[in-house]
Amino acid sequence: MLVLGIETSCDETAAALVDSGATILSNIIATQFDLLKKYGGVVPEIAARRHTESIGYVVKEALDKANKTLNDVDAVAVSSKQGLIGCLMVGVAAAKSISYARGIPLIGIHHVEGHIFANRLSHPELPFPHVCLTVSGGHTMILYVNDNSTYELMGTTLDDAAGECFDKIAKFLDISYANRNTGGGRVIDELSHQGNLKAFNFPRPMIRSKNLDFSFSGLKTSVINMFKDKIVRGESLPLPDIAASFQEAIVDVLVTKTLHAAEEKEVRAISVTGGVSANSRLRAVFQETCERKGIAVFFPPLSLCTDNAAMVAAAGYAHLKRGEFSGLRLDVFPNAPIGV
Amino acid sequence: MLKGVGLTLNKVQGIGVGLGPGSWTGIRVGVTVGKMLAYASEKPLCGVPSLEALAWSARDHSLPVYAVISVGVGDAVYAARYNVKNDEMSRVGDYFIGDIKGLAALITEPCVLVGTGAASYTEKITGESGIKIKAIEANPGGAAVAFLAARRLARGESDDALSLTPLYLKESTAKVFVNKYKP
Amino acid sequence: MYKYTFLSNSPSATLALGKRIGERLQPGSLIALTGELGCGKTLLTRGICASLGVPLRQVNSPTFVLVNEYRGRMPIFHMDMYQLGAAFDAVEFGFFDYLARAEAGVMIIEWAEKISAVLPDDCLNIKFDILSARKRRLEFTTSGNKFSDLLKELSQS
Repeated sequence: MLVLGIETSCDETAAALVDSGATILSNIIATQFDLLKKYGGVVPEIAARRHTESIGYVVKEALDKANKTLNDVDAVAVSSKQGLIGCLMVGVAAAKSISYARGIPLIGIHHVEGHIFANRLSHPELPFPHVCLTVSGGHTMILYVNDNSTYELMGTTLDDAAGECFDKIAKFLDISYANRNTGGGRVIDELSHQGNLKAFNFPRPMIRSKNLDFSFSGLKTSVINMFKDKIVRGESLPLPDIAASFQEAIVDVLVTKTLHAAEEKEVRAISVTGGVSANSRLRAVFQETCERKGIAVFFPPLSLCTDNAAMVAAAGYAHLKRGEFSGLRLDVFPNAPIGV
Repeated sequence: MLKGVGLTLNKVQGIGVGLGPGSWTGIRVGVTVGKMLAYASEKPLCGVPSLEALAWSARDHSLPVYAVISVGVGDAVYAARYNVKNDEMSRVGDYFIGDIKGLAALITEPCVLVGTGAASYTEKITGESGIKIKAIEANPGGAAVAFLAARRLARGESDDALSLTPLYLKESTAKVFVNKYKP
Repeated sequence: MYKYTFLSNSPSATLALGKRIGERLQPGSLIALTGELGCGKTLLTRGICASLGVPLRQVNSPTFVLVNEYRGRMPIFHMDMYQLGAAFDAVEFGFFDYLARAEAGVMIIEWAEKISAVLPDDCLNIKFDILSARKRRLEFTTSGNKFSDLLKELSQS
């Protein structure tokens, strides 16, 4: 079954063709990076205008790259839950039109479920049940994942998402978009390689807490205050050290809580997805820790960590195989819970 | 809707879509549906400005037609003037965005005014200028869009589905609102 | 011109005030918040949104995205104009389009002074002053009758 995936929940317009939920024939993403640079964030109205401009082109390119036409497409899957309302509406409108015009089924997908499938798609050996940490600019949550696409929310952020925290600190330290052609998290990742992660001992918020929720605004405030304090005292600001220590605090919290979740549920596999799962230190610490504990850990390839439509197509396939589909009355839900 | 008139998409020969101006979210969804429907069904596409569709439904061969759509903020409106000759419609001048008073200043001769709430607009304008205006209550409807699109397509004119975008009138809105509210 | 002054002793007092405001809001309300970083604009907004049915956790300051939309018992448009360069930028990010949509809901604007040139006359202005680490003074002003009942009820409660 060839599924066309469409993703427009935030600032990336994406389309992809995936065969039987397993083989990626094409994975096209039109990013709005120049706007992100200009505004420092995703301005919903502007992002939505961009989606309208790009959606036709990405769909066409997804087909061309895969050497297919719409005649070959059996179904359409689109992110319809979780994201910016005006942006989701563009993808859903396009998906409905294609579904209607070709007489093929349509399925709406929760954006975070898409991220969960990014790993299932790239690692068919990923066992069930497992615990999945989805960590990005918009989300930080731990879900218990069963094979039947039901999810139990075990923990989520009470304030900032981890990726957001990376972006804000990168912006604050003035090392973000303006200087490089990439996001705040990636910049901090790169800078950290030259820094000493033990230079500063930033707080690991809620790390000892039994509950699996996250909170990063305290860490953010702590970094900012330390920084301002140093300026006031005329002390030097070793950016690589600050970056490395800050990153270490986030990684520490993410790894510790995810492992607690895995232990609580007695699973032997952990899946880490979302934009922040591309972080090299996060991967390294997860690998080390999981190896010690005899738990398998899985990461998607870098191309599937950030928002993309291949993961949406894969999630769509799983639902369609179970006979679930949405129909033309599919609505958008900007804030939809994923788990029970 | 197609089912309701006993048709299927196969029998449709072209797609017409209203471009705006109007609510940015609304015109965005409309244009996306139009362009993707056209692309997916491989049928020709023609975008039609919403004020033109409105004017068409109230066309008058002897009087100029002012089509008016509310901006939704205060009494601000989008408007445009059309002349009709031999069933051919042409827009006269630029799109107008502003309040009723501003629109009234543009209307210097008897005309037809068409839009939702036409009666109250006409009352205000005639109150300002004393000019006689025929008010016609109408929405920028699908039938007018379809008709105008079909006519253009019959002449071999069409729009590229992938590149079609809505008529936001962003720059014009900027000029008007910022000037209006400046102290 | 209607005025009302509220002295908040703590963040929870600000939050509670927000809830009382939210309970009484009518569709088509525009609330303009002005005050320094950390004065409690987002906190007050959280309280307002809570009364309109939006969970506290969902309400965050849209400093970089400019607008957050929430679905409560009516649509809420939460804006943060801190980043805006000039009143002109307001059109670019859809301010007037949101204004039209907010006729059926509520618009709350933080750092509203940045776009004072394009704000309608009959909005509810709330100016925050930081008096101490936890205390704030909130000065409410509005012209027109839209919020007169609300201010009356707040002053009596």
